[in-house]
Amino acid sequence: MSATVDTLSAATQERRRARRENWHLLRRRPSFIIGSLISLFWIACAILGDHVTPYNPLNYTTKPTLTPRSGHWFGTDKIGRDIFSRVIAGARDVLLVAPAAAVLGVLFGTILGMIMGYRRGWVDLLFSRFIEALLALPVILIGLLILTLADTSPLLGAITFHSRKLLVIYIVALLFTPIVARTVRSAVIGERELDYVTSAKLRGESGVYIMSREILPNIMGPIIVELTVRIGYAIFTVSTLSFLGVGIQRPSPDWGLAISDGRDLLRANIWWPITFPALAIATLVVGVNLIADSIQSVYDR
Amino acid sequence: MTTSSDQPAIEVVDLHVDYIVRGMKRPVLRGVSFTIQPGEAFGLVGESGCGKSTTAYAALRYLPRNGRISSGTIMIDGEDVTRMSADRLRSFRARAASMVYQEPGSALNPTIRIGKQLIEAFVVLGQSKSDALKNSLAALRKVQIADPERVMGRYPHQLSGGMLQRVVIAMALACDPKLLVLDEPTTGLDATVEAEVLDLVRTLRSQTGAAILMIAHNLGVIRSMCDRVGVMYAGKIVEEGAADTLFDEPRHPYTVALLHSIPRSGMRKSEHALSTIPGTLPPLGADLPTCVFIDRCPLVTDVCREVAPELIDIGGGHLARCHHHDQITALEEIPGPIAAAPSTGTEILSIEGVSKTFHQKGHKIPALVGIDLSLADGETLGLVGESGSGKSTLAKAILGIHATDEGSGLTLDHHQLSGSISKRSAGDKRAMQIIFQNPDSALNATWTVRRILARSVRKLTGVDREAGDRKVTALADHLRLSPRHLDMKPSQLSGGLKQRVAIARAFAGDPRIVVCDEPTSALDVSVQAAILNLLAELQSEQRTSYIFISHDLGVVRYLADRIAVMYLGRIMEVGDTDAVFNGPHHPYTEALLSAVPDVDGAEHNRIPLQGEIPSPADPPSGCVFHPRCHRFIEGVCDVAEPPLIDAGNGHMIRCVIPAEQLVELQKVAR
Repeated sequence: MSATVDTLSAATQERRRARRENWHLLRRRPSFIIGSLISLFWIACAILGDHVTPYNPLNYTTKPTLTPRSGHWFGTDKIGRDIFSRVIAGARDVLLVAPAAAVLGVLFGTILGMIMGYRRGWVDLLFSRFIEALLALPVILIGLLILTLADTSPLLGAITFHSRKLLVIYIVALLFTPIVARTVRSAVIGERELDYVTSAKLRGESGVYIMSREILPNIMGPIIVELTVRIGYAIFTVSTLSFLGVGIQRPSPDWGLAISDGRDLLRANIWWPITFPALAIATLVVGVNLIADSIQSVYDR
Repeated sequence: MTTSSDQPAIEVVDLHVDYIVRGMKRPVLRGVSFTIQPGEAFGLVGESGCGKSTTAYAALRYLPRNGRISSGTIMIDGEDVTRMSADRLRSFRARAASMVYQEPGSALNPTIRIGKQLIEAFVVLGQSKSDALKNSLAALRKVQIADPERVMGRYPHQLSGGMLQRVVIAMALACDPKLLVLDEPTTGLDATVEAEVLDLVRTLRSQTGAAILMIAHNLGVIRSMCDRVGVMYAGKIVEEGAADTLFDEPRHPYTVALLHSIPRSGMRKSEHALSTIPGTLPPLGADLPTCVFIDRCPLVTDVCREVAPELIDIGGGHLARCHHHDQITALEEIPGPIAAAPSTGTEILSIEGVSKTFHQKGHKIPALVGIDLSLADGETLGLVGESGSGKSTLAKAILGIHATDEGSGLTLDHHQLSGSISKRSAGDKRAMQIIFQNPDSALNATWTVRRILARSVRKLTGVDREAGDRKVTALADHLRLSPRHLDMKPSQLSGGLKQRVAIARAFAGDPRIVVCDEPTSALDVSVQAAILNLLAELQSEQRTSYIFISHDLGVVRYLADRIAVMYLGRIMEVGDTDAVFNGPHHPYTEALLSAVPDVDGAEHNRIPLQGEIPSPADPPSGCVFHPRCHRFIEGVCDVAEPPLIDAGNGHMIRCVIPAEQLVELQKVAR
């Protein structure tokens, strides 16, 4: 008999081609290109911030509530700060807090979801019911509640008040944890029935090893998709919390905060202080979601 | 049976089909031609990737989105299917041709009752609701479903695989098709159920006069079902002829090689190794200007590399696409025996009174009941039985994956084994490993082969990194995995290579016992032959014992030294392979053996098994097999469960009928 010699070089090439193909496919998607361009623009604004703005975004520059004009393209706000400069610089806080919250949330959610999906039994039952109860309430409501508590309760405040942004990151991450955990749990349940897991048990691997080394690499697809989707939601959530006054604090040029501050002026037909930050939030969320959708559709292909 | 000789049911002429893969045209069918007369059954055989399913799908223009018929004609009922408009095609598919797929479960909507789905098949034909209902009931009766009203009210998941396939066949026959395409209709079904479904198709064929195009990888099934057979290779029919002639006197080297790679006619590993086909199928869309089989053909000469052979009639409608069809007899060489494992007959594993009860919603489900077995070193114990008989549960209980019930005794090398893997010592874990049926599920897709093997070597043997690496290289070499395979991921390997990796992993810690759970049933016959040879060689070198689970009795007979037949979590018969196959048999074994379609065309009286395997939660009284037994004795079998009785030389049969009497009864039955 002779050894089965397969057409391996062909198979290898095939696989490499498939991987390149995925990237090509992604790059060719108009939605991915547009989403990336928008996101990259805002990332650049966040990095460069007040180094490139025509005015200092925090300082009074001229008369308040000037309409958009040359020199002040987006007009000025009610204490005379340049709105264009504030919109550019306002990208920084949200782009720091939201992705960090999403990454942490996905991390926590992955750990919890893996334990639930792998251990099953009472651990799973307990957390599943808890998650279901939590998901019945709007995310914003719980966030608002905890942040308000943090402001009023001396204990919670003392522990976490080192940095407001850090607090917001942790809380948004915690809010996302159950949602991510649910996705990861179902992916793990699909994997744990496969024979490679049985085989690992048969050679005496520990549960932690099986979860982290055997199963985790196999569920990276859904986790990456979850991460990109969560970033979009996180931007929205962080901005909303800022708007409600419990998120990022003054005098940051944060967009949510700016909308909150400009809200009263709308009644006097002064639309520009809230329109431009609102557009900024909208474009960023749309940009990130365009990327998330393209990644998801390439993975699902 | 042939009623109208003037017009064939289907005539395929020079069919070329391409798949568009990443913008590249890859030819899959390279000029396929065949004709099926009304009432005739034509079978297509060949290994996976040869184009047989593509041919079947193309015949009804059910090609996947990237499939294109680039040339050729498919004439059905005087019309060219390749030229039909979308509307015409729809009504053609509704009225003139039907298809039955491999997975009956996926052909039916799981959320809709059987009745509604079946009635719809008739309503589509323009029948009124009441006519459709009447016809649906009649259709179910036609496919021999005893209680059609009850089945109509069921959901698909409430029916067994065999019942579902009957329902699907009933739906396919709703339009009284001129052509019925069966794509692996019995793959995945138990041999006993398979035999029933095949019987049904045979009956229906004579009743309806429909022409049948049947695809199957099981040559025995094709031989028993079809009048004529086409053997496909790389998108071409390489040989065609009457089923008996083709299988008895094959005239193409590929057909010969396929037939030689099957363990048949009671072949044993101690007699000779299985023939394998060197090399692999050319990759999809390869450029094959001359003979498609040259790379793997033992008869290849210069003419084969220069001139593409035509399909030549070598007499009596037997066609072969080979320049050397007259030299086929030169291929009759048979490989020598595999050295027998030097078994000392020392018992290494003893299974005493092993039971396993699952608890489900407060119900007790006894999946294993008092199993007694033993395994000697270097011995292969075959486990056979229908699905649901408890073969895999027993294997998992032995390995400690399913913790056994209190009072079960597992002894390895004279020391007690814990019922649960987590409580077993490192040495015990190392001693027993498993090879799974599906290597795709058994190998972590994100790991390289090297990592898969290295982890098992180091975890099981506890050696350092350097020694581990040496062992991995040696292991790979031994299993004929080339060094470059080591840095690949499983998805880059073919099915046969993946299974080699899985075997290598099982042997990483030099195990005493390896459980083989249907290790070749996902593989083509030529690959199966190589894997079976490999398992036999490894055993003879390392004196490993195997517990070999398979539904393929030919394979079990080839490899196993002893066989245990299981039914409903109990051992019904156990003995040396020859004793179990030659008889006397337990009536259940007798029925199992009679259900196997033989590629040698040997006729045997099939013993139909009545009904389905009962639920283990509610086993029948007395002998658990009595409700389905053809030798049932009222007032005896349904009262007390018989013990395993020795029929001579340790051949144990769980039946009240004495062995001598079984011999007489079974002599008559043949």
